[in-house]
Amino acid sequence: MRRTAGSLSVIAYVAMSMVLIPIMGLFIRVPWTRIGDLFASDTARTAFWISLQTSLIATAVCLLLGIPLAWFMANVSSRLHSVLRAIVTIPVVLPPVVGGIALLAAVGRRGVFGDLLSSIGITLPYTRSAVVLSQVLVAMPFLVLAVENHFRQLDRGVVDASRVMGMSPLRSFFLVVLPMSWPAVVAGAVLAWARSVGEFGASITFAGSLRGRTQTLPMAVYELLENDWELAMGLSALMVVFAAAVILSLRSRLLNTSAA
Amino acid sequence: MSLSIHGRVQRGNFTLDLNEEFHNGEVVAVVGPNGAGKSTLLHLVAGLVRLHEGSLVVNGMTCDAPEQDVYVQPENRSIGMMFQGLHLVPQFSSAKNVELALQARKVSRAQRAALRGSLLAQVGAGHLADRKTAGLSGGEAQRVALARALAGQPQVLLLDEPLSAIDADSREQLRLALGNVLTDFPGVVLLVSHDPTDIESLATRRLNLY
Repeated sequence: MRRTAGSLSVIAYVAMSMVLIPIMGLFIRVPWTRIGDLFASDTARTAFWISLQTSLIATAVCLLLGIPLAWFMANVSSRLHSVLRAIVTIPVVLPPVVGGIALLAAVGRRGVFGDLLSSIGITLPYTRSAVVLSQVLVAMPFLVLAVENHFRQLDRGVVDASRVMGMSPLRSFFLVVLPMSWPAVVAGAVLAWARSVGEFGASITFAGSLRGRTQTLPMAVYELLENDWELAMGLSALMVVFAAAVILSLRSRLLNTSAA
Repeated sequence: MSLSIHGRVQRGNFTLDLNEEFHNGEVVAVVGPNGAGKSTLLHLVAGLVRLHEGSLVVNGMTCDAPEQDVYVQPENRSIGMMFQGLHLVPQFSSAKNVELALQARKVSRAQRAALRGSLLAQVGAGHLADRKTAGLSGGEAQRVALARALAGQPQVLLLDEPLSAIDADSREQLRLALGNVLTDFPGVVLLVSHDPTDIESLATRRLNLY
C-alpha cells in the first residue's frame, strides 16, 4: 500500500506543480515595489468596487432564488430531479462566453425578449445589471447543488414531525429546514460569490468592459495586460490571495457541515 | 367516541384494513408483529399516510375520506406524535425543540417561554432545557420528544415505541413519567409497544394487528 503511494507520489507532485508553478511564477514576477500604484490606480479601484457590488448582489439573487429551487429539487420524483439537475448544471460545463451570448440572444436589444423589455423601458446589455445577470447565470449552480445535496440528506422525519406539530410546509421550511441547513447555505453562498467575482467570459460578452460602468476586476486585469503588464500581475496576485482566503474560510465551514 | 377509522391503507403490496373506534380517555396498546402496520396506523391518524378508501374521523371532524375528496393536512389536525426515530432538531436545544411545537400552534412568545419550561418539567426533563438534543442520551431525547408531542394540547396522542432503546433504570423512570401524563390526558392515546410490562402498566386495552 505504502509503496504504491510512493511511486504514485511522483505523479502527485507533478500534478500539484501544474497548479503551483504558475502561481509561483506570478508571485515571483509581481513588482512588489509598485503595489502602492495598484491601490492608487483608478482602474483597479473602480473595478474593485464594481466587482464587490455586483458579486454581492448576484450572491443575494442566487440565495433568494436558488434555495427555493434546491428545496423543490430535493422534493420531486427522481426522474424530474435528474432532469432539473442536468439543467441547473449546464452553466458549469458551458464555456462562460456562450452563456453571455445566450443572454444576448434572450434579453439583448435584438434578443427574444428585447422588444418586450425596451417597451417597458428596460435595456440590459452593457449595464451593471447585465454584469449581475451574467454572474447569477454562472454562480447559481454552485449554490443550488451544494444546498440541494444537503437537503436530500436531511432527516425527513423532522419535517414530518413539524407538519404534525402544526406547521404548514412553508412554515416548516423557514422554522425547521433552514435553521438545520445554515452550514450548507453559507458554503454554497461562498462558492457562488467566489464564482461571481471570478466571472469574465459571460459578462464581457453581455455587459462589455466599460471602465467605471461594467468593468470588474478580471476585466480590469485583462485590460491592464495590454498597457501596464506589471500592474496586471499585481492585481492578479491580489486575486490569488483572495481565492486562498475563500478556500480557507470554506474549509472550516465544510468541516462544520460534516459534523452537523 | 373520538376517533374512528373504517377503511383501507394500501402501499404497494402492503394493505391494512381497519375497522376501529377509540374513545376519549382510552390508552390503546397497538401490538402485532413487525410489518403488521402499527407505525402505518399512527402515520395514518397523523395524516402522513392517506387512506385508500373509507374514512377517518377525529372528534366529529372527517380528516380523511378519499371517496368524498376529503383530506385534512397534518398541520390542521390536532395530533401529538412521538416518532419511533424521535426526529428532534439536533441543532436546537431541548427548550427550543419544545418551543417549535408551541410556535406551530401560534402560541405567543411570552406564553411560549413559560410553557416550554413546564412541559419539560412535566416529563422530568427540566434540567435538559439548554442542552442541544444532538448530545442527549436515548432516554433524555425521548423525554424531550414526549414534551414536544404534548405541547400543542392535542386531541389525540400517538406514541411509537416511546420507551424503546433505553436502559432498564431510565425505562422504569420514564414509564412512571409517561404513566402520569397518560392518566391526565383527555383524548385518545395510541401506544405502539413490544414490551408486556409497558402495555400492562400503561394501556387500558389492546388492539392486535396481524
